[in-house]
Amino acid sequence: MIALWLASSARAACTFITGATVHLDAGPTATSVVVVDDRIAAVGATAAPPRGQTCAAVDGTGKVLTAGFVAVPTQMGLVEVSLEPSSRGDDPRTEQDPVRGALYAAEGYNPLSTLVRVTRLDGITTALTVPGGGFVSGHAALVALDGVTQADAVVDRSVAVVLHVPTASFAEGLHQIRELAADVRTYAARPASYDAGRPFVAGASRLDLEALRPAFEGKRPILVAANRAAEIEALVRLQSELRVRFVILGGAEAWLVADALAAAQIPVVVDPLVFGPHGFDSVRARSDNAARLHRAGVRVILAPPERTHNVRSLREAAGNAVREGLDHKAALEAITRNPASVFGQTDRGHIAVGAVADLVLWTGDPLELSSAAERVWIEGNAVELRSRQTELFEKYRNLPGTPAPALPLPTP
Amino acid sequence: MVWVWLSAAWAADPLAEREQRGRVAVEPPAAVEHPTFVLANGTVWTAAGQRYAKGYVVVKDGAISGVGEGDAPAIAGATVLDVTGKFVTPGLIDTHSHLGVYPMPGANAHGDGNEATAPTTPGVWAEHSTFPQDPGFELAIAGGVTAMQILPGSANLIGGQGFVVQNVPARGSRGMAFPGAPQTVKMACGENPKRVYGERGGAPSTRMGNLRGQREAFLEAQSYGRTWSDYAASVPPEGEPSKRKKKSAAENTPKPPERDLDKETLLGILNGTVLPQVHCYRADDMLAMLQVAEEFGFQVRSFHHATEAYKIRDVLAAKGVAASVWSDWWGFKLEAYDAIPEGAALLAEAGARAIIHSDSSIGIQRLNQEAAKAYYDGVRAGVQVSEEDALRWITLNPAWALGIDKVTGSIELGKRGDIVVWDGNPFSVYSSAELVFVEGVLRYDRTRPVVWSDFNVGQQLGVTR
Repeated sequence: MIALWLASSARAACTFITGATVHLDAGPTATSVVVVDDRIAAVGATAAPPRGQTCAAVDGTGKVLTAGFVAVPTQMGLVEVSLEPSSRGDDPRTEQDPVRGALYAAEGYNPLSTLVRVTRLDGITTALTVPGGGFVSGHAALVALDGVTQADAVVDRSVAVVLHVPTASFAEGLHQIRELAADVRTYAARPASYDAGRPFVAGASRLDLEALRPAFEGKRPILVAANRAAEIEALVRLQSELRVRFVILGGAEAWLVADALAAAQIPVVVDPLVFGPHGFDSVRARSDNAARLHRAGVRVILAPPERTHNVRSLREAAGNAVREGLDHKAALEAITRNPASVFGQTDRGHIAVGAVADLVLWTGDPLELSSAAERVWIEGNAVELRSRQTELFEKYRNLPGTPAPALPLPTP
Repeated sequence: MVWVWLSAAWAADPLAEREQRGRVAVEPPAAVEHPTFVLANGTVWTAAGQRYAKGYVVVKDGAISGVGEGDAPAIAGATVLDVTGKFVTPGLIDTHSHLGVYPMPGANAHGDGNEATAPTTPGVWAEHSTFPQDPGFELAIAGGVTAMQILPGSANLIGGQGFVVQNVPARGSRGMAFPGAPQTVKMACGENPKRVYGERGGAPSTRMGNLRGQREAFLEAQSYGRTWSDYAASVPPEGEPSKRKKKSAAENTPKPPERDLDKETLLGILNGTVLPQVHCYRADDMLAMLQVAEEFGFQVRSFHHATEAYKIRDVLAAKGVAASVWSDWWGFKLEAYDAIPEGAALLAEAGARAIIHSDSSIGIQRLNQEAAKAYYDGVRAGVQVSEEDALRWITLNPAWALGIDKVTGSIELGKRGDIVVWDGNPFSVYSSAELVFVEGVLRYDRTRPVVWSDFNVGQQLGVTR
């Protein structure tokens, strides 16, 4: 077990990457990067290992180094097989207790889920894992895609609160948010009022109201899904009324209210592969939504095409956003720096001295289908790039065969 | 050619002749001009073995009349389109779509894909659910898709006939029918049928129940087939007098059997005129289905989804069964847990017919990228696979699975002018279809978007940003 662990995440105290095209905040630059423990220690043409320290040398000539990708939103570690409730840490059928203010997705996170290793093969080093269901689904966690325990993997167990507003009655949903905000604040100011039987939002316990305080005091973002331009516009107004910080998920028609979103500094998580009138709330969806939002000054996060098994296709989604007009640098930032900073992790998602060493060395343009992640470091660890799928491939590399070989007789 | 062959078959088969009466178009064919044009100076990938770094394609009267390397020949009256720096490929073909049967926008009124009222409903036709006004068709043409098979869903063991269409605007579904395409049928194994009916307390509720349902259906079809062959044998050939001269003419004319829409589709499978398209994920489920096929003497044309096809690729290659797979979908259900991204490449390497299908109104817009991912995943893992193979996964191989490979799926003389001009290498994430021709008619031009769907009409009024 210990040997296995060592093999999967050999910790190099120091890594020295030279010769690569490095995507810095300012743009792609030919330079060197030194990693000491879990941080980036030096960046620059003359960067060198600390005196007296031996570093693992990595020749990046002809290759591209980026910050590890941050996938938002996902259900990483919560779902092993989507249609099998027994394999899920977030039973989606439970609709009792609609206000789950004290629910933390981090506590359901399984760092040994086979999806974790599949996902990081495509350069994703951290993920926002979100709970589902209810009206208040609970707290989303930021997890690193490495480690064998929750203690290893969970970077922050509460980076956002997830609200689920039914699209069938968006106004009713906003009314509920308003009531909940009032209750959280009333409770914070006068806890005794709860016991006095004040009619709080159905199902909101004292624990819920307490755990939701940071979100309703504007200290944590509130994730809420909305696609129709009018609904997004209503959320912009509600944000200023409640003095909270929304992050819009979906935002299919967000380009129509891009200026208001930019002015309110509301980030939008866009799925660049979904456009066309998939629903009545997205009839005006456009393929260049992300590009238009970015040009208007909205902080854009690009979402993977789904939330579990194919989170790995995040870079393909970003590539398509570029195809539809988003600037390449902006697309990279929309899957690295933007999601990291929106969820409070300003020391992740970019390559700079002092930042967490979540790094990926690519064979070429990371958004291009022909490229692949050659090396992945998570918090400075060079992680093993093998998954259950790799082993299935190897097992069935040669045919015809049986699922298991016949054994030779034991030595007498 | 397929058309001619089928016509001959119907003439000899009184049941097939009756069945075809249900496929007569009411909508008059749209009058379209077939311009003569030349695509000159492009990189031409034919999917028929040739790749010209600089080549040309000539299309006349809807068909390919010239293709080759170097400078295009001068063709009198032809419009010459200089496609320097661009890539020319056959039109893409998707073997697995639900466009039209689950149209956009997603709505209660639009759930026309699963006749989940009985586990075997071979008599329903996807054609009768296909809504030609689905906005998905115009999104698909923008992705270079010129033909597709529209299938019923997989709730049922035998879900009904598929519908092979060319991607053209029409008022009724028959107006989209791919000319001469043979009939197909959707079948399903594994989790879906047993879940849908098992949850209702009915049958099937297990995999063994699935298999019983399939086999019983074919047993009934065999006996139905006998009533029709007995009838056909009893009808005197035209011009020959009846041998039983003593009775009146009316008494001498044998009565045809009662028709049964479900059984006649199944009979088509047994006769080889209806191509089975079988939704099946696990290797053991596919092998069990092939056992049924052997028992009843029919040929599975293509497995669909087939996430474990790579485990039995030797068997699929030997039996000539195609596998329509995704590049990388997995794990959404337990029977999809073992999919690997090298699956398509392994199938190709083993000589099996691999196909990348979409099963998605979103995926169908980027079939080229799906093929590219599966190709590069194979190459990285050391699988012997070529770009030509990967192009065939979305062109010639799906054409074969649908029985239309003699007329489309590659750029070859005499084939339909189903062609895409890409603004770059189609295996790059940054490339888009620029021009898409269906039977030599320009149906998509990236710089001149045209609204097909009536749903989209008027929706952008007042939207001026």
